[in-house]
Amino acid sequence: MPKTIAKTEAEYAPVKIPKSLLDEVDKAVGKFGYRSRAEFVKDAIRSLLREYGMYKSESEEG
Amino acid sequence: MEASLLFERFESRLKKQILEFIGDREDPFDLEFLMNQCLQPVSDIMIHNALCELADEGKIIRLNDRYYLSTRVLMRRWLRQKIKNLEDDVIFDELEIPRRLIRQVTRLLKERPELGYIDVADFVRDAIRRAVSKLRM
Repeated sequence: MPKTIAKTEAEYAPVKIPKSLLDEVDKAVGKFGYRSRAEFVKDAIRSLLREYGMYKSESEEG
Repeated sequence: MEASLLFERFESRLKKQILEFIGDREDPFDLEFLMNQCLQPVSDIMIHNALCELADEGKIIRLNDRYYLSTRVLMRRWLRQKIKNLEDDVIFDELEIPRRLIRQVTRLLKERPELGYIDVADFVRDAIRRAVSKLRM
């Protein structure tokens, strides 16, 4: 059990986001079928990284 | 009137004047600065003693061997920072982002400084704004 907690802490890092922007995210989450804020934000980051030609999937990262 | 009493009064007035002079001064000051600013002929030892007493009374803070700062200014700065932190807590929320993605963003920031992102959070905020506006269209 402690192993799982350590793994989670190591895999995620906190980022500060304005609450007003997260309110917009919450509206989009309900409206466009995202499961959570986190899913929406991860998708948004991937999308912008892809736009700049810098996104690598987990398998590509190795 | 006894000479010692006169001297005490003078010392007390000097302390008061120094405190009035540096009470709202934002920059640290030293003995030399006060000597240059002093309009009366006062010895450096007297000013030094006055500074020591003001520091003992907690009215000024000794920053190091040379510089001092008004306690009022220091407290004001500290309060300002505390208020800013409180505001940040009200205005911002923390979101957990996978480190795998953060690493990719960090690499992008390093390799493409011309994009103008200040840090990872700046990139994430832009990504969210773009995603939200795309969905609105």
